[in-house]
Parts: sequence; structure tokens; C-alpha cells
Amino acid sequence: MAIADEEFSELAAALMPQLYRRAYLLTASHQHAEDLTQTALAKTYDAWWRVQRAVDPAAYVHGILLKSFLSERRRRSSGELPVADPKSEDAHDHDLADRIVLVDALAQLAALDRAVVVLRFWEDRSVEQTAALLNLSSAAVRNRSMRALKRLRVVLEPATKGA
Amino acid sequence: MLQEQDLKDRLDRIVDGLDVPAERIEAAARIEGRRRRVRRRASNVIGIAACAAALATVTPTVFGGSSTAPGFAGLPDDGSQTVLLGEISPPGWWNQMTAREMFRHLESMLPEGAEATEVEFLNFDTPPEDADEPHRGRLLFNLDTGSGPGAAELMFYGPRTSPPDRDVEPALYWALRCRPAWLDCELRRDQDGEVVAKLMTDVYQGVTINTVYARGADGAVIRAASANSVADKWEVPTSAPVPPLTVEQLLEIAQSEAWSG
Repeated sequence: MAIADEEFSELAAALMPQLYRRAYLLTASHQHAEDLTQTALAKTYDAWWRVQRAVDPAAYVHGILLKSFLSERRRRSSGELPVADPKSEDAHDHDLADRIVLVDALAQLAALDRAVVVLRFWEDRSVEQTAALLNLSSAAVRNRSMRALKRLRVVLEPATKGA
Repeated sequence: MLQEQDLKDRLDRIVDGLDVPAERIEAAARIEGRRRRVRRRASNVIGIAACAAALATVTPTVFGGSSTAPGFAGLPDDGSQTVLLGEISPPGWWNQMTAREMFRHLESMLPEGAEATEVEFLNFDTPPEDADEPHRGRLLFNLDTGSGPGAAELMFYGPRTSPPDRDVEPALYWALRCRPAWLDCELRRDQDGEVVAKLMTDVYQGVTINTVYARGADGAVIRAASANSVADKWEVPTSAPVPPLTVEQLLEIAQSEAWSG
């Protein structure tokens, strides 16, 4: 294995769990999360010289993943039909009901609203940071945050009360 | 009421127990990364070769120099560019026309009263530092032609562009064929029997997707598609009873001479 490949493997191994978690919340699907993580790491491999020179390589790779998500979110570039997620939730889940309800709720959000939720509420980023990362205005981030929270409450609160 | 901290806790619980297929993803990413790198390098070579050819023509006239083209010193030398020179698309209208220019042409082809929104002009498929790179050869937007909102996409494939799931092969080869499993797939031919377009309609969970691939100039292919969904990747829920553009309207758009200038 070449030195660059070894370095790539080390970085990929170190970042993979967090990349995959972020991808899963952004896409609300194991299959899409795997695709998105793979795409981000493939771009990382391709742009290795840039990644090495980045002040914060981890942040750089996470930036690639987010941009890949924004790029892919509306694309449907072949005539192939979508297929069911091959990884059934019940195959490896410890908290099945809660996960399914919340993942379903996330999936019902528009992609950009979901990205706002992930960046603002899961990653604790400020409105301004989120706006810069998503190429939106701060007002748009606030509006999308409020709208997403409102929709999530509608879906999640009956489930919470019933739990 | 769902509070922000409660939401964060629940999101954490979702991802804490995730089973990450790390080895599979890393191996696939490395393969895809190598492929991307080889294509990019080969593309650079073709671009520089095109510039070199132009310079070779101009130099003798302007500077009185020789007509020898500059060499490729400084390019990565991994032996791949020679193999792939003919296997990817060279620069052309298919990868140079910006989304804004495409939209300018397209507007005049849309049905009267059609309203296009959320037109995606910028390309997010770039390194993080390239924030304002325009899309080229691809246009994605939402559209309402009176039957309700939907989405539409126009995309150019250069003569040597591979589809997402296959190896590099001529665009005309893979784009203008119907697979046996596609029930609603029609090929249109010209007077000589040559296939000039493929018209398809897919229905999945109520979402109808009309797609047309048409033969373009110089061996390129134009894909025009439309769906009655404005959701991510045109999946459920539906946003209207039918897509905003029929396959015949898409065919007319795809076969326009505006794209190749």
C-alpha cells in the first residue's frame, strides 16, 4: 500500500464513525448514508493533496460530505427505480421505536430543513455558522429551524406522550 | 413540548447505536477515489491538449514562433492518461454551458404560464473552498405548468460519459437502449432506422417520472426528465397528479438545437 493510501486509510478510519452518523441524520437512511459517506471519502481521496494542506483536515472532509449532500439531494440522475433500504431497522437496533419514529420524522423534512436541524441542534452550531455552511441567510436558517421544530413536534409529541 | 436539548438527546440516541460498515465504505471509497482521480487527470490532459492545439495555431502568427505544441511537463505521470485519453468526454458544449445559460434557452420552450422556481444554478459538487462554482451541463428546478408543482431536470452527457453504475462507454450506447425490465420504454428512430431518442415513464409509489434521452450533436446525449414530486430525489410524497412536462414536451426540449449552439 502506498504511503498516501495508508494516510488516507488512517484518516478515513478516524473520521468514519462521525461522518456516517452525520450522513445518517442528513439522509435518514442507511443506504443513502453509506452512499454519501463513500462519495465524501472518494472525493477526499481524489483531493488528497488539498486535504493534507488543509488547516483542519477533519473539518475539510466534513465540508466535503455536507456539500456532497447538498449536491445530491435533488439529483436523480438515472432512470433506475429506488429500492428499499436493504438494512432493515430491526436487524441491529437497540431502541427501535424511538429511532424509527424520529428517523421517519426527519425523513419527512425537506433536505435543507434536515440539514439545518443536524447542524443547529445535533452539532450545536450557531445560526451564522449554519447559514455559512448551507449558503443560506441567517434569517432563512432561523425560519427553517422554526419550521422544522414545529413539524418534528407534530410527529414526535404524540409518540412521546404515548411512550 | 419538544425542546432543543431534548431533540439533541434523541438525535444522539439515534446515532449512538449505529452499526457503521467502515471497511466496506473505505474500500469502495478508495476505488471510487482512484477512478475520480484518473478521470480528472485525463480530463486535465485533454483540456491542456486543446489549449495547446489552439496555442500551436496562434503562436506562429502572433509571435512568429514555431508550431510545436507545448509539452505536458508538470502533469501527474501515473501512466493512466494515455489509456484514458479517448475514454472520457473532451471539453464541449455538454460540459461548458452554465445552468444559467441553459435556463435562458429553456424558458422560451416551456409551456405558456409555466412557473419555474428553485432553479439550481450553483454547483455544490466542488471542494469546500469553491463556493460559487456554477453548474455546467445540468439544470435542476421545480416547475408548475398548471397541474400542480413538480420537478424537472435537464442534463447533458458528453460523448464519453459513463452512467453512474457502469464503466466508461459511449453515451449513445447506453442512453439510447431500453432494458427488458423497463415496461414503458419507447425508442424513436429517424428515417434511416437510427435510434434518436428514448422515452420512458416510471411510476414508483405514485410518483411518475417521465424521462427522455435524445441524441445530441457530436455524439453527446441530452436527458430531460420531470416528476410529480418536489421531494429529495423525486421520491414520495407526490406534489401533483402528473409531472409538469409530458414525455413529448421533454422530447421537444431535448431535441432543441439551442443546446449545441
